[in-house]
Amino acid sequence: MAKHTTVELDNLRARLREAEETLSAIRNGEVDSLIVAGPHGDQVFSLKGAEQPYRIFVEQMLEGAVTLASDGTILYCNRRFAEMMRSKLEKVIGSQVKSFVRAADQPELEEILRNPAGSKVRYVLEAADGSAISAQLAFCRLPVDEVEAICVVVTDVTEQQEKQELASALQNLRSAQEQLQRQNDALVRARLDAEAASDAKDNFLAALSHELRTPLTPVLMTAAALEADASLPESVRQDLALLCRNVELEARLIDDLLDLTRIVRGKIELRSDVIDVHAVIAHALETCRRDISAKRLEVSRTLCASEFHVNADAVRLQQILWNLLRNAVKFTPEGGRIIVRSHNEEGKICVSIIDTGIGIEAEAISRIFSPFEQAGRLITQRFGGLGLGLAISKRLAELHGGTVTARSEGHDRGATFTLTLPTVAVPATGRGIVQPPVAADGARQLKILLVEDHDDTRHSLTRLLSRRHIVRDAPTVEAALLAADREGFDLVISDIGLPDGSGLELMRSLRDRYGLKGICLSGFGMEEDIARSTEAGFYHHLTKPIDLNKLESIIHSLVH
Amino acid sequence: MDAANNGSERYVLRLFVTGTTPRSSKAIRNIRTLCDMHLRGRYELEVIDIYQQPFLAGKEQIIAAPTLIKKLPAPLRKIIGDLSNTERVLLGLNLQPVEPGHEGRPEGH
Repeated sequence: MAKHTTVELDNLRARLREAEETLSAIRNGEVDSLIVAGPHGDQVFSLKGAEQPYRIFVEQMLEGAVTLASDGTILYCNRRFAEMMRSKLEKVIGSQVKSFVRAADQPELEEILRNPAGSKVRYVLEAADGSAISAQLAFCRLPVDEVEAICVVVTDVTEQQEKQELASALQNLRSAQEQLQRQNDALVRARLDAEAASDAKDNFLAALSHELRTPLTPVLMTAAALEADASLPESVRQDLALLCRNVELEARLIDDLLDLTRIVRGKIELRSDVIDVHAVIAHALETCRRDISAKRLEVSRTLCASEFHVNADAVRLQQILWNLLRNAVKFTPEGGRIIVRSHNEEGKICVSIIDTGIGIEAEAISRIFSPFEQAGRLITQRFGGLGLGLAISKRLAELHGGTVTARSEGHDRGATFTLTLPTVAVPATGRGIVQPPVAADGARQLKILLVEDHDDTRHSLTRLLSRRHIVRDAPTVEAALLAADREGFDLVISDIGLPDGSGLELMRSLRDRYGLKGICLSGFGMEEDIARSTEAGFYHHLTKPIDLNKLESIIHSLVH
Repeated sequence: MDAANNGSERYVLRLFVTGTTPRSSKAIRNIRTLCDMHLRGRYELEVIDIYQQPFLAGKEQIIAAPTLIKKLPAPLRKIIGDLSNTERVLLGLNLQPVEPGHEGRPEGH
């Protein structure tokens, strides 16, 4: 009994102590809140500062937080939401949430306000400055006291959407890139095809020119021989001269076409020798002499340049000047004048060919250097030709570091074509100066081995060369080797394509066995053909049709 | 008086706090430290935010927070405040302080 009382007394004491401690703790401010029983259950009354962390949390969070009245009036929003709407807190609080929502979305929003629990929507919100913000809005009821409020968390998804757009743009870019790659592959294939086709065209052109030239050679040589035969009547010889001129013209056209192809394809190789330009002019005039006298043109030379040596390919330089001169002759009427002038200008030599011909209209000047262009259809009909000469001359001059320009006062007022090339100092010894090929006179009689499988060419060449030399002819490699074995020769003149082998192989054998010198005759005039024949031991490469004078001068230079 | 309990009895404790105030977090830290030191392996501690669950506070007749309730072992005891007075808390939980020099202060005046 006493023990029971003692226990109860202890309990009472403990509870009293608790009550005292509670009271003193409250009095001393050691608690955050008090819990008070009320008509609606227990209520928590926070003491100063207890709610502060929540407030800070809501203010600091990266989402917009909005409290709405059921009619959509904004009762509260955090700073983040005001910033999202590009506005100020005091402007946003008290305004209508619908004012930030597009008209199209408003009916749905009103429905949500009536029954907000758990709704999540994506709207494009209209900010105060008019910008559009993609946002996700999450709604829930907010039970605060007796007031029915709605809480909305607003998440800016613009960035997210931009990321998605970026990703899809990236995807598009990737597929575009793939497509480009495919197109590029197709282009590369097309280019390879085109290059192959172009090579095929080059080969075709080379073969074509060979086929076109081969039959010209015997015609030209026979006609030239007959033209020179004083026993024939003058009228026949004039006809033969006409024949020669036209065959030569055709050969030249073929040469021009081939040259142009090579220049355009960049497949031309230029030698670089020190050349006397004045000598080349003299030679070019000599070459045109027949045409000049036929048209009774008066040609005068005023070569004033004191520096007249250039680094050039002799054959090509001659081609340029000959083209320009031939052009002047062609377009100057009978009895007209042609003046050839040279002078120096700042380390360059300028060669002008001035004629009193039909002139060039101002608007046509820019076109005359384009291949296949002449100054109009009428010119082409009247004078003929393909209009390749000037294009070739200009490109060749440029490959030599020079220029070709044209000037004319207009129709029927003549034209001036000027070739400009950089000059070089003459070597002190005068060695290395390449003279243009000259016609041979007083050549001594030689023993020549002629190897050619084309019967007409072989026969006519044999006949022509036999006038000055002793000629043994052979149609095959075998026959040639046999002849060389039997008797000694001074010189071999050989075709490349032979029925039982290559002229190149033949040349190598003859050079190695007998130390013979050779001249190559070929329908193939491409740079690489010439390089191959030089490598095989041929001293000269002549492209068909063969100019007999040129052949003679080469023979002369080889054996002297 | 109950004998000081340093034995193997299980303790069931409840701490009522008000959100994340400094005092709340201090109370939580203090009781955790104390339990780890004196009741390792033989206690259950529940922390209740009265903002989130005010009805639980009423049920336990809590009138202020922070308040620690020792539900077991009997008798039920309530300790009010941030629990930084270790002596008073140990007394309320009927526990003896550990060796001097450790975190718990020796009893004495």
